[in-house]
Amino acid sequence: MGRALALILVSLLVAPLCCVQRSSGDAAFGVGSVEWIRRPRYAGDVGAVRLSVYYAGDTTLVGVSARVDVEGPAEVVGGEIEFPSWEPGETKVFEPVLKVYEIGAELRLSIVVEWKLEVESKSGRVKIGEGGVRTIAIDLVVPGEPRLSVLVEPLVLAPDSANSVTISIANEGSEPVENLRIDLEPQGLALLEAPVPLEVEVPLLEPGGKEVVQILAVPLVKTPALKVRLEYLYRDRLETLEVVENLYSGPTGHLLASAEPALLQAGGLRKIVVVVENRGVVPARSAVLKLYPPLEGQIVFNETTLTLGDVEPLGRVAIPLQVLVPAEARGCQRVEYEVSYRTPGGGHIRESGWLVLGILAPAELRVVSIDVVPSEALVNKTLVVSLTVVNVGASEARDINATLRAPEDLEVVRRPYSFVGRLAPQEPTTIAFSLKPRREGEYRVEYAVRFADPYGIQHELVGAFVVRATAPKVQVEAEMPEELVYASAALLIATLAFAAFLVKRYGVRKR
Amino acid sequence: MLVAAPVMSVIVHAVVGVVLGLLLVKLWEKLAFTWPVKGLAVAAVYVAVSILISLVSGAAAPGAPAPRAEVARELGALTYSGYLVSASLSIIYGLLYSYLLEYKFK
Repeated sequence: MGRALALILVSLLVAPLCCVQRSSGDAAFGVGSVEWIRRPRYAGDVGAVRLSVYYAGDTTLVGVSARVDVEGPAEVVGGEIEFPSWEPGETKVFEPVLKVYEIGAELRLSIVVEWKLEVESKSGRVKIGEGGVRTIAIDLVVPGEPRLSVLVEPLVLAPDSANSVTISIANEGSEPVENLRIDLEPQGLALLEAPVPLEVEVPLLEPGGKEVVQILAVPLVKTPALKVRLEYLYRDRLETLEVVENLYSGPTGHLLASAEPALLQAGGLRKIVVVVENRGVVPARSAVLKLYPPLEGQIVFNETTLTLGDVEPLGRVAIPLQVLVPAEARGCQRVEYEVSYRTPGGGHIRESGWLVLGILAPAELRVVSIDVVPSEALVNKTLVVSLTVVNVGASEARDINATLRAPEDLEVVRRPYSFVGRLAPQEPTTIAFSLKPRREGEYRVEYAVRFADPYGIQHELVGAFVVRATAPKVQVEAEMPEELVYASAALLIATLAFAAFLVKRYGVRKR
Repeated sequence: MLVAAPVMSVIVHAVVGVVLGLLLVKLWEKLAFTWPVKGLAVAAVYVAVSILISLVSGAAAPGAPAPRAEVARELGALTYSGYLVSASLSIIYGLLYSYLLEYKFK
């Protein structure tokens, strides 16, 4: 009598919980509660149900096994479960997993409980009975998942600035949501032109629909947060969803400027490209770069305010620029810059940094003249070749030495090399070599001037010139030698005539 | 060296003239010709001796490079002129030598 009364009482207690399901079968078994622990979101998704099944019989069931079958557009994933015994009044929890092919469909779950023995203990006696099978049927409706999503943009806010923050609530499910209430509670944020907490009522949000709430917020701390609480009716049940979006107040764009090339040669107008890269996560709108050349510096820019426009994340903008670099400039020149831009949320950001330009002042030698004295080279006559070298670079040339390489028949008198040493900018020097041609002909003479700049880089200046050697002309000082012969012959004739006159006068033999 | 060469040539010819004059005195006295003919004979001997001395000195001098064609042509003109002048001077020398022996030193 007592057991029957207890069974009636338990039945009365659990009956209101089974609002959508109906059980049938042996009265010793009953379903205490049904709860969807995972609701399928779409057709073909998997859902899970927690079933609390009680046993209110008189005997202990031994060797119990249970399985769940389903009728309707779904199938049970998993097999049979077993447990050694089931005491009277004990509640077992089943969590069958269902693969559901239709949202909103009605299902009938059948829990088949099978046991091998029944054991009853009464007044010190144990009574063992035969096993049996019972089936408990439950009717279920597949509820589906509302699937509301919350998207807050941007997550990175500009500090000390009013940011436009957009909160988008979208119904990504397959059924409408009614009486949606959106509560926005800022944490570390000051909302402009809006009450706190901000409540927005949406009567109906259809599947695929989106409700957008836009606020103006100034971050008060480094890591503010926005708490979004959603309350809505779904299939006549009040559902709640609470999302806390953590935000960050800091540089949103992180624009980095650099100069290409970073090395410039002193003495002239040079062209460079200022490259600005967005290494942040949000686009930089209407970016402007302002250059501040060093006041005591020597380099001059043709433009100091550069309009960059919009720079997307991981994007880059290149602006050509002309730099006037004096010949006296040396070393690294640091140019400060400030880049200002607006974030998509309306925040105004200023970032600063500096460009570094390395100014190189290399030495550069040029051979400005090659003098050959005498200009007409004669065979076996020494001629002097003078190379005039000028340092047209911006810094001192060091370790200057010149070498001459001539063909075999053009002898280099003394030495074929000459060490000069140092040469200051705009300074000329003359390097002389002596040559002696051994034969007539045209000789190609190669020269090489090697020097080092202050950075230790070796340079070589090579060239060639041509020497034409001719034989020397012999100058005979006698004028008109033929006339001299004639005069000599006349003298001889006169002498012979005089001798003939004497012979004729005095005779040949003595008398 | 270039300046000393003509002076040496004059000295050599003067010495040769004196020596030759002394050696030819006996020969000159034995010849049965008038003094102009004997003067021409002495001149011939003088020319022969001069040519001999020239050849000997040329052979004994260190080897000089052979001049080129145009130089040799110019030098040839000078050589011919030198021969003619030398012959004239030799005749004058012979006649003067013979005259002095005939009328002054006899």
